[in-house]
This record gives sequence, C-alpha cells and structure tokens, in this order.
Amino acid sequence: MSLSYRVAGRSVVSSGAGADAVGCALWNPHATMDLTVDEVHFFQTTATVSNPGLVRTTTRGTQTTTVTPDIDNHDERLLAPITGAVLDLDYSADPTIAGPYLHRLNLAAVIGVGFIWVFNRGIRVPAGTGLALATPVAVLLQPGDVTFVWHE
Amino acid sequence: MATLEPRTGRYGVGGRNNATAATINHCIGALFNPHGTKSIYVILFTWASISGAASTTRYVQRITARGTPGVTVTPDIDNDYDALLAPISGAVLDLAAYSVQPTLAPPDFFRPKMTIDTPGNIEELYFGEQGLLLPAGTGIGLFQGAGTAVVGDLSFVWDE
Repeated sequence: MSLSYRVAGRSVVSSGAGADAVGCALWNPHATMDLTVDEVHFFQTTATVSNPGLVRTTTRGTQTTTVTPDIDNHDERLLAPITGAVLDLDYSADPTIAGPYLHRLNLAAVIGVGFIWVFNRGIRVPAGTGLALATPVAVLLQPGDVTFVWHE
Repeated sequence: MATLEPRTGRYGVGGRNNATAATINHCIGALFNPHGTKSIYVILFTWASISGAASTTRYVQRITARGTPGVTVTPDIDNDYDALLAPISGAVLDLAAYSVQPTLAPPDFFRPKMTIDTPGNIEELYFGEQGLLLPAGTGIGLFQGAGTAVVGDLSFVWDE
C-alpha cells in the first residue's frame, strides 16, 4: 500500500513585510516518523509581485488556519496520515525557519501565476519539523492556492 | 568515460544576485564545487528574473576558476533533501556582483533569450537524473549575454 497524500488550501498574505515571513507550511508533528515531500504547487490569487522560497522550519509557530488531512487525502483512500501532517495557512506567530533556502523564485503581478515543483527524490521532513513557503526578501508573500504532495 | 561516484545525497539552494555591471559576459551567479577531489552532479537549474530589462540574453557555461563573488550562500544540512548532512563537497552558490569574474570554459550549454525580460519569467534547465558532472574545482554559471544588467532568483539542485 502506498502512503501517498496530497492536501491543498488557500494561504493568506504573509504577516508583516519583513524578510523570512512565512506564508504557509506543511508541518510534521509526529514525534518519530518522517515524511517526504514530492511536490509543492503554488498559484497566486492577487495581482502583486511576490517572492516565494522553499525553506525548512523547526517550530510550527502559532497557526490560525489549518487544513487537517484525513482519509480523503490519501491517494488510495485507506488511511489518514499516520504522521498527523497538517497544512498551516495563516499565523499569528510565524514558524522558525532554518535556512539557507532550498529553492527561490519570484512571481509577476498577475493573478494565476505560479509553479509546480516536483522533487524526484523527495525532500525528507523529519519528525517535528516542517517545509514552508516564505519570502526571502522584505516583500509581502502574496496569498495563493497551495498544494503539498508527500508520502510517509 | 569517468566512472560515476556513489551519491550520498541531493541538495538544493537558492539566492538572489545583486545587480551586475551592464557588461556582456559578466557572471550573474554560479554553483561552484571547491572540493579537491570530489565531483558533484547538477540536476536542475532555474532562473526567475525580476529586472524587467528589454531584449536580454543569458547563457549557461562551465567555469574553471571561481572568481570573487559579491555574495555567497553556503548550503548546510537544511539544504540536504534528506536533512542528514551538509554538502561534503562544500559546494556554494556564488552571486553577483563579482569583483573578479569567474574563468569561462566555452562554448555555451544553453542560451535563452527573452524579448522582454518580464519579472517572474522562469527559465529551467534539467540535466536528467544522472545530472551534469562538475569535476572538483569547477563550477557552472549563468552569464549575461548582452550588456544589460539583470537581477533575479537563481536555484540549483545537485547530487553528490
């Protein structure tokens, strides 16, 4: 049985205009079990330039909007994520990031611009850590529709 | 043909260059492998411009000497896809503006041209899962193909 999952949501604009503000993250709250991210999709919903970067997080922060995947997010619809992985979409206190950034891009001021990152070997997210879209520069990260695909 | 070395991990790193001089053949950024003996394998390269300059070209080429970069991003364990090990090679992402340009090893690998370099335009060069071998002490860089300064986000993925 493949333990492959995908979850999606709409992030809000990052809090504050400082560099390294987080827009959204897949958080792995499990105490011992890792997960591996296979894809990250992001498509902007505002006509404002934005600078998304992919970076690890070592604390969850204080999330105010979360999507909790269940059995319906399993590709084979057999099992909710064992790790308890969640998609956080808004924060009152940002997660702690652990740079340097893994990947960086910038997006034009057009609604619908975005990207799909496919990681052929997958990016391992150890227990108690996360993988976030954040802004490496002091420009607000714009809201967008985000999807994480992972296996565990 | 060289025997491929065993690979222990995959890494990714990204950064933004500072404005280069408006001079042809100036380096925008490069992945450099400073190790004395170990090769690395470049899997993917992406570039997303933010400069909005008209009629710019860029090209990708090997380098045989690092030059003196303006900024260097030094990957650590967080850049390992497996979050296990900092790069053994010591590979770094160097970014403009260089005070001493890297030494080019022509000819070009890849030479994209965009009529208008719209912010957010993304160029991607995928070398396949076997990757492009970068011998010890060499690198691969993105260079200005015209006398127009450009700024953008540069990312590399590699195995070692």
